[in-house]
Amino acid sequence: MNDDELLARLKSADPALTSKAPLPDIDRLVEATLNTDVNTDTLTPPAQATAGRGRRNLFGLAAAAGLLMLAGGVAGGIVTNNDNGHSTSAAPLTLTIASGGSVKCAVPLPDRLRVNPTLFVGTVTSVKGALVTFRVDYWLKGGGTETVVLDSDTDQPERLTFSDGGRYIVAAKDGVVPACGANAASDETVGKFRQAFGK
Amino acid sequence: MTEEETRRKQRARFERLAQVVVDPLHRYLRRRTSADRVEDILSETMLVLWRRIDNVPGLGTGSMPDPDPEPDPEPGDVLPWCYGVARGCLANARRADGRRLRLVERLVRTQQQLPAGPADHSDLHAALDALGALDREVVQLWAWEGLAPRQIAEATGLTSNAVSVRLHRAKKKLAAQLGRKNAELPGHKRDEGRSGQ
Repeated sequence: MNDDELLARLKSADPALTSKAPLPDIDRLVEATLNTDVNTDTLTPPAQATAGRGRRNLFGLAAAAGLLMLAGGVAGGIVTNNDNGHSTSAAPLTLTIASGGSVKCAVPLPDRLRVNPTLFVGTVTSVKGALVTFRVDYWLKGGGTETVVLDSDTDQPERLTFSDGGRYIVAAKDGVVPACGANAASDETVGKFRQAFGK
Repeated sequence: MTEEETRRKQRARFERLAQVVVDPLHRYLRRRTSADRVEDILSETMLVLWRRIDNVPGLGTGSMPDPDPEPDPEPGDVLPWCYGVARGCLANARRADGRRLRLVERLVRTQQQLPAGPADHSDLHAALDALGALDREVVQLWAWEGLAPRQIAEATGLTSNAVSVRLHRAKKKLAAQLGRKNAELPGHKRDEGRSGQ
């Protein structure tokens, strides 16, 4: 059997020839993709609108929402304690990364990250395993602490890696950094954010 | 360029990319998983493509002064990379579902083949199953997706050289196995090539 015969043989057995799966509706798929992306980024309730497609995404969202509520309780507790004790904080703010979700993110935009109550520009001072410590350069929203510790332990293979000395813009809600909430930031991006938030 | 304008360009670029790649990606997945999984994994793949729209090779990027409107992407330029993304999403889904899914996939494939009419491809599928997973993928990308070794390299992350070697060996293995099967069919000369015995 030579190459051509083998190729013909393989082609005649192509499962796509006999498969009865309906062809995808490209426009609907594009629309669903663009909507889903906006929804997962901001974690707002309208994600329900896409219920017809991608059930797995919704499970991810539900899990993330559960995490947020849980972490919200914990972080809320910490904040209250801080308020009762010393007004500014010796203890660093601790954040975790939301599991599930994104692969690679677009350049961060002020409007996209504005929905998060915690938002800062920070420089990494140490990376110990999954624990990344930031010195906060500017608080754009929320905050008050000088350092932030981020637990980036996650089973996602294609995650953002934090490098010592690198500068990042990090957003969080209820102690959890959402998908695409932590981004390496150039001076230009930092400038744009400082301008947008008047800091 | 304002942020809004960048966003608008990205969306337009994604829409043009979708027109070119959705059908081939759908076929790619139909060849490799059960019909009810295809839609989910395709959605996942499109999400990744949208998030990485500036990284898709063969597609303009926001940093260059692009002509407006930008030309449609060439399938041969963008598809291999997109197949690579679909391959990753499929692998993620398989990891998540574990062996159960792989078993189901194999059963579905056998069942689909049986009532398919005059052509019975069970021996070919058996021969494909006997290859290692990466060798099988390389052969399928060559035969079904019609990719050249250089493009297969882009889809799989191998070097072109490694692809050529794997492809050559896998084709030889397949041909040998199929040849053996044919030789065993009744009516064929069974002593062909063994005349000295």
